Amino acid sequence: MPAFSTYRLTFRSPLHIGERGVGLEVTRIHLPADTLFSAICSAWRQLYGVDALRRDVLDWFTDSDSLPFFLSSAFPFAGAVRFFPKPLARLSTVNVSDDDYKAFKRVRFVSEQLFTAIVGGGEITFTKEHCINGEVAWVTEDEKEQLKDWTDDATGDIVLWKTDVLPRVTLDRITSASQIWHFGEVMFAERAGLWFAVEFNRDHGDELKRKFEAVLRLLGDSGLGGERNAGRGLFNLGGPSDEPLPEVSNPNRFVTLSPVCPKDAAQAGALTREEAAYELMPRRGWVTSPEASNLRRKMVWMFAEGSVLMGNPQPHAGRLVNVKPDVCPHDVWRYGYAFPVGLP
Amino acid sequence: MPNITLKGKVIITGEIEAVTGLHIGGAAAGLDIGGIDNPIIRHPVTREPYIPGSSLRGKMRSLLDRHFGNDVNKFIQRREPVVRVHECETEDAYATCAVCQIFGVTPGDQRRQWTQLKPTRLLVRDVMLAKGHEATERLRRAKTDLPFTEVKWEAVIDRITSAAVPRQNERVPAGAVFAPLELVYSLYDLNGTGCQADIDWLQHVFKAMELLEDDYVGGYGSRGAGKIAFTNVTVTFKSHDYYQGTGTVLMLDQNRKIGELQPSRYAQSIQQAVGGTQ
Ligand SMILES: [Zn+2]
Repeated sequence: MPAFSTYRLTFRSPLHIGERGVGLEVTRIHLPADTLFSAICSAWRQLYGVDALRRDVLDWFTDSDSLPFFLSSAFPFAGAVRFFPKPLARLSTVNVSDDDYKAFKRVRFVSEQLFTAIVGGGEITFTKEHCINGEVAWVTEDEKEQLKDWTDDATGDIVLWKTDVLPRVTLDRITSASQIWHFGEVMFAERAGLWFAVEFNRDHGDELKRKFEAVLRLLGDSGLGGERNAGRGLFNLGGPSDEPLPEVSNPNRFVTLSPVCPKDAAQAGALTREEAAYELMPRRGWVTSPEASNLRRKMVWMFAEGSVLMGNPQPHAGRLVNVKPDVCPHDVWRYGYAFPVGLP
Repeated sequence: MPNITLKGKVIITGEIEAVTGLHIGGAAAGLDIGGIDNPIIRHPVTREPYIPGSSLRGKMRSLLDRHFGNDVNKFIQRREPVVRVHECETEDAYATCAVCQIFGVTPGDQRRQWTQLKPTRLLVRDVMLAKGHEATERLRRAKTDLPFTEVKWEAVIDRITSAAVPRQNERVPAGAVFAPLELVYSLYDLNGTGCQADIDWLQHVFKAMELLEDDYVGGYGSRGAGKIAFTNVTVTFKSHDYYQGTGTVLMLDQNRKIGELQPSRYAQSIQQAVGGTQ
């Protein structure tokens, strides 16, 4: 059984997780593992230099079978309650009445207790009354009670995060005339934020984990996501803790907690056979290295978090994919390994 | 491939006091808060007013441009009203321009060829109403029309008829305190050339804060709004070693007003601190 280190990011400022190039007005709530990996690599480079980034991280992923670590995407948490992506498969053990079906479709995150119940195959009934945060998150009765401190007085809803589209202004240096543009950001309530899990390869020793945590501390003061110069995405690091993830014995399929880019066509075929249920998401955006800014990355499709894919969860399916634009002077790696939780 | 490594981060924290009423405009869709003509920006979760880091940072940049007499050459918006800013166009100019070094230049095709380009040095966080502060509690108790703000009626003179049109204008009252303020200034080494220039340029960040105290943030500055003061300013340095878990945070100054800060002394201490790791 793999051991996981869980980190919690409590944001000191709003977060903009954009699909750059699509428009600044939109933001995601969660932070996909490939975005997190890229942020980790550029902070690794800043802290230890280019050679160390290759030696400690990239070469292991591209040229060996001994991968140093696996990352989940970062999902919301509030207090002790962690959220997971809602598995995309038709869940035969979840009872949803016809009246509630639309509400169930809208849910994007399920609480840890519900996720554990779904993975364990136990019978559960969905009720709209247990949905919070504008009905995008589904929790148990018990968890709803735990989260009642986050109740918004005006609406009575439990609000853990909120997205907003905000104006930004550039002033003319002489006349003070203004240009306004808008971008979307997510703000978390107090004691809420994002959590993610890492599975470290113990063959790489304690040094790897020590460096990894140094990089996270640096990211906390540099910011994650977009609009970092405007102080976006700064966080305080919590953890690591060693909370387990739910597990089943002898799974023949899994739900992934990170976006997956299959190794090749054969793997893609195997993952999507039979009762797989998945969503494809385009991963696009800009190269962020100092020598290649203002270049668009090659677009690549990945299976979104929550996708239910066929096959044994171990070893992790996926790969690093090179999304280097033709004119870019160096490779640009995008992380696309599954972070699997087995399903019965 | 250039090797850009971090030497450390100077963290400037503190509080902002509204010396006069403060109006930082929010989205026009402020209809849910009672149809104010001219609402201020509010945090979407807590609905409390705050000062966006981008407003502070943008104002600091433009005041420094003026201070250095930088020419205004780049069009952000060509249609009326025209919006122009300063941004160095050649790498030679950039090499010695404190403003473009501190605040960054937008990436562009021609800049991709620059070999001495460093990441933006300064980021500025949003500043929320100070939690639990006596000034915040006073505002809470005041039970104004809208939470934490006052609504001022102002006459706007119609340019054609000369009639005075009354207009509502929402402000955070004088005396409000915002905290924590946080500015993060990074020192970078490029291909082993050290970070001396970054250390030298740090003084301009404090200069910009001083200039900002004598200017205003938000709207209606010409009518007296938007005057702020930085208080309880604390300056610390987190070295490369700190992030690696082997060093401690270096305290450079604590609980000062802007006039009491000593940037040259900080520069000396930082030089000593990074000297050990170079
Ligand atoms: Zn310049």
